[in-house]
Amino acid sequence: MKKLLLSLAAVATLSVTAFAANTQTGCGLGGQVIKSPNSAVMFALQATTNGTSGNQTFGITSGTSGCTKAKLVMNERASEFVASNMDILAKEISVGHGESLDTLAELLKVEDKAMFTASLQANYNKIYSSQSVEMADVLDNISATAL
Amino acid sequence: MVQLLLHTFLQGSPINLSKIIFFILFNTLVLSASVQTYKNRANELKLHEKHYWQLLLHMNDGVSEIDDKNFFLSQTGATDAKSELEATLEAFFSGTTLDSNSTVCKFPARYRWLKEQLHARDFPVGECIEYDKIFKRVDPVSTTLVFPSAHINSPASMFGHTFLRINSSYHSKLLSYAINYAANANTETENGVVFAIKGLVGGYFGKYSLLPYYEKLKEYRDSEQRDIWEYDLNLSQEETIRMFEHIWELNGTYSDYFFFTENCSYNMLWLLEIARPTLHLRDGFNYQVLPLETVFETENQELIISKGYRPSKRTKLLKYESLLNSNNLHYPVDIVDNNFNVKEVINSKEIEHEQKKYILESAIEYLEYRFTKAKVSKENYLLLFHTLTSQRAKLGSAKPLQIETPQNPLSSHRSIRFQAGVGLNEGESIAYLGIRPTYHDLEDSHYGFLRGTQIEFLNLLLSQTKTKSKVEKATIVSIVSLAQRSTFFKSFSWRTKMGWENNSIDDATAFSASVGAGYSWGNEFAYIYFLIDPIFYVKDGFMGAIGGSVGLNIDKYSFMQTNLEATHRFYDNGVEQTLLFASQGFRTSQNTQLVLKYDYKDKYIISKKVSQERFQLMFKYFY
Repeated sequence: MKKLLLSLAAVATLSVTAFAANTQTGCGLGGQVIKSPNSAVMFALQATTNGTSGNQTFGITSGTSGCTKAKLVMNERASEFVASNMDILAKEISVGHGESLDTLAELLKVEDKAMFTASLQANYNKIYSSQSVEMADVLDNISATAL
Repeated sequence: MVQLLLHTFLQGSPINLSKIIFFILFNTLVLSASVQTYKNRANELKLHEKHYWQLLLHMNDGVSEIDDKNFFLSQTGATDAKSELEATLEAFFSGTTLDSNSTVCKFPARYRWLKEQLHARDFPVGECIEYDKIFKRVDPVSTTLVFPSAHINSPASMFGHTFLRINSSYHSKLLSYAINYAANANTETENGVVFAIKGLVGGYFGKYSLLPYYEKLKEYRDSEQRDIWEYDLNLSQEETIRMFEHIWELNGTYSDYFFFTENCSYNMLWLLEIARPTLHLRDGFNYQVLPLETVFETENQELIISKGYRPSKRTKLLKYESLLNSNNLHYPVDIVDNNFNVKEVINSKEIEHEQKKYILESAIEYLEYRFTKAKVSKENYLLLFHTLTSQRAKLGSAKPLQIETPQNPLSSHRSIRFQAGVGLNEGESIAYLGIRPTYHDLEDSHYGFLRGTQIEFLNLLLSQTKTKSKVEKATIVSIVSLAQRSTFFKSFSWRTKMGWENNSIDDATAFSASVGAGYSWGNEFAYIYFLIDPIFYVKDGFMGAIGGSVGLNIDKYSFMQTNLEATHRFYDNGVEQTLLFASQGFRTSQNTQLVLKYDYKDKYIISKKVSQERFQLMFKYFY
């Protein structure tokens, strides 16, 4: 009963915005989760309690199903990581440092990380050659320039 | 021995039907004898009553909190731990296959514990391909409790959220997997208020998900703009593995989800207790399980080894605001929102090289922010993102942003508040006593909280003079969100309140409800706000008013804060009212505060305007 009373007391205030649940990252850039409240009132009552962005599974299977495979890099985890982190990797490569970039270096078993990141930044346009580039291209380009 | 006898028997004569029948019966007898032996031993040892078995079944007072029938092997398993144990043993032995679908492979935690407790040597060994694959991928080594804190303009998110990160042998934590429990609701199709109601009363299923940590960061840190706090726990690898075995058992199961009690954080506590059964983390929680309170509990039980912090995208953008020269602040916004040509920044001779880097970097962050808020189309996003990153790469390397770690939420005050104080009300002395179960208001110490946010439920304040007892206020709910506007954030501020209070034009405490909107600005020293609040009172009918408020909160110093607010109201009966509130608070310890307050209220007693002044000295204690 107490639970119910507390619940009712909180009703009007804990409503949640409707947001586009988009966890299909795809293989290219722009795979972020878009969260856009559908009205000013809902925005005001925004209360994300739990990141219910839809994907309630044990997501072990690769996020690259459907993505073209890289030709020069045969590394499942690296492929998965790049496919799901296309934008943040691009950003970090362009500034020359970052945690996702370090993670990629670890996955590719890079020995000289400093040289790796410097080389990637200098060759940014060869790696992210256009706005429609995909995971396979990025990995292959990284392999060609820095590995 | 038995196999040998059997083999000899069979070899002696040609195979015929009776021999086959005998063979099957014999084996069944042997096996059922085996199961029966184990069941008997289990009963002797009263294994079904043991704490760990109760934990594995999520039993609370003999009834399981798991509502999914698929979690149980016995029809009555949810209420009968003994029948569930026996059914589990039977299922281990009676399965026709020992592959990934077998009970042996689906319940590794039960399997390991029962095998240990029964000192069993001939439990069937499964070929658990699926489990082995996931175990190898997750590679459990240690455990970290993760707490995404509040995000701006959502005071309810102050309660936060918790999930567990299972650290692997990789150096990078991004590759670790995170176990999360959440309400399985499609908020796209569900109305916001309906979602709130259903979530509060158990109208949704809660489900577990296991995803790479980078996915959780993309969601909480980037999309929802929440700072992430990490607490490394002292669970050993063995304990982490034991927890993971049970997580596998929970795969695909559901329970009824209750925002207040059987929520995300509560279920994380179950997992920690499974890892280390001597822990009793859930005991202290009766009516509410606030995520941050569960973090406090792990600290109390000395589980936390170290703390980490990851700034949200919003925090990063605010940092760039402080690094950019004031005449350069408009560039990133103009580039993203107003089609300003990036080349003009690159080719400019006036802008310093380092400033150019900041402009491009913050423009990229701001572009992503606008894209996630659906203010930029994907097509434009891709084009501009590519331009900005290409140009930035040409400017060379830079030091990483140095963002100072803010006050840890573990240093903030606890959720239940008691207050006691004395005052002077028009020359008459008065005593106060108050209680509030949850959570934080703007006059409480802001230490460890997101600036400008307030959320309260059931705030009760009583007063006593020589002659009169009074209910000063009984707030049902009060929420405030003062989000400071800045270069990158054009937020609006709002507040809402419902309950009984005595700020009306007469002297009585009356029921009121109000909602307000406006704007706020601030710097590191203080913030100001302007709000317009329509309000109505219920007392012998309705009385409405529109109020305009201006306020100033000085919160630069952690040990004190000053809150000032002036309000002027226009009532629907033509009367006007001025209200002034001032409060000077001191944080005497994490969970105690001393506050000096002054308020001034215009009242109309028998049609005559009277100014009421009050001074108060309050002591607050948080628990």
